[in-house]
Amino acid sequence: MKANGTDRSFRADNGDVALELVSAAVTSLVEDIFASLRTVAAATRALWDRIEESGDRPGSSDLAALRDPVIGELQRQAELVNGVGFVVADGALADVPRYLEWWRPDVKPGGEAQRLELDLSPGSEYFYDYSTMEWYSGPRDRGVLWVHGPYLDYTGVDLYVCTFTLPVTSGRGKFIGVAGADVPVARLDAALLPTFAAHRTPLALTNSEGRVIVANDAEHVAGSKLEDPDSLTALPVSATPWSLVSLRSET
Amino acid sequence: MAVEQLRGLTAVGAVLSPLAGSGPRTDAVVARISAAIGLGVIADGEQLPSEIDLATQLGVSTMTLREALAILREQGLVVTKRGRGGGSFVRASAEDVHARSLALLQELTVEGLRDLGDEHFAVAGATAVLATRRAVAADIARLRTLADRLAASEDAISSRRADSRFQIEVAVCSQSARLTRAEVNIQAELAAMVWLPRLGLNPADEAARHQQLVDAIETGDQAGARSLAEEYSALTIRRLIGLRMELARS
Repeated sequence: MKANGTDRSFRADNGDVALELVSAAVTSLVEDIFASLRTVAAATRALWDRIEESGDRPGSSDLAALRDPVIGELQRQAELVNGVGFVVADGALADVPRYLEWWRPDVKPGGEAQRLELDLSPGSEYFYDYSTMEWYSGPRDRGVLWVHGPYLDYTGVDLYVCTFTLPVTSGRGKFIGVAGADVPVARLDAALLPTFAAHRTPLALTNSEGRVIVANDAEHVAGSKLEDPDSLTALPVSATPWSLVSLRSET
Repeated sequence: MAVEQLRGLTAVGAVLSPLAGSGPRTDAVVARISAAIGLGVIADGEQLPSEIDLATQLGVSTMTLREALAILREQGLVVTKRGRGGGSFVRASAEDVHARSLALLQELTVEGLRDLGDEHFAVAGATAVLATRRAVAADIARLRTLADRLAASEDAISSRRADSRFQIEVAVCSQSARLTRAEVNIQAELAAMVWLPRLGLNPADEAARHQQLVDAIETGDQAGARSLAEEYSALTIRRLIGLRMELARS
């Protein structure tokens, strides 16, 4: 599996078993998120093909049928994920130019999931133009899994998140949109910090831009950038565009 | 529909979130909705959410909301159409928006403006430093695009949008959710007044200042970025205080 077009896998060829454990924890967390996206993508593709085979073009109301699989994944990933859905390719639907079937948990525990509605009209002040956003354009243009962030999504869900996406193509081979999930950095931190804290040397998980996601060192917190990444040893984490960086300079 | 759409959009969320505290609710609802219209958050011709949705969103009874809508109708800010496709619609031309921004400015005291400016000074300076430490290449490109959009803007409303969007985006680059929320709230108060036609700001000049800030962020000049952001925030509030004093004279 590859994400953001990278195709590399981590091998603990330095024999560091402890580091391998940290890397495996990150990989398994990310693979499970992508497994949810595959479920949403499969449901979408099945629905899409069924409608096209009957000679119709899918419309926005047809996507309401995705509600159950989407909410199912949202509940399955409740510890980690704050939103799951399908974001339609520009112009793919018969009735509206843009649309998203995206669900978020209720703010109250035990409440019902809520559908996220964003302003999708181009003339509007708060137009949510997802076609220019990297989590959408990346998988659309390159046909690969994508992880974007950490970033502040203040026009969308008002959270500091990583967005995971996967391109979806119809049975006829046409790009029809992306399946996606938002994972708040705070949840990634809660899930991974115990593993990082147990590691005996200073270690950071960074994205491809060298931005820290989780670390076990107070000098390197989520959102900060590594000062001099070239002087540090970075090990790619399988299934992700991320790296584990040993924060001790090689001198 | 609008409120559903707007959920999660911070500036609007701040305007249409539940009212805090007790006291005369009708007045508070009127103030909140007319502020949203005045700031251009709810645009001319846009339909307000249903009475039930809007009352829920603001945390008031439908009775209170109906009283508030009656007052807004009298003020000419809202028209209600009956029947199929009916509902309450906002009436706010560019002139209306400017008139309300001017009225808002007149309601503020010089001290109140100075204090708003002080808050912005703190937030703008801090976000500029953090953005300089944390911005990556894609952030720089986004900031430049927004500054270019301001330079190319052709009317006060699009200048206001591009300008406030740029300043919010600097906060986004700081990676701080709290500072970004603070900047969004400050922009909701400031931006409409800053782009009042009476102040005669030239979008290209303002955009050039923003590009200077991006230069400092890009080159990693933390002290330079801080002082440019602080100077710009101080200049903004000086302009508004100047206009406020002028209004007091006339």
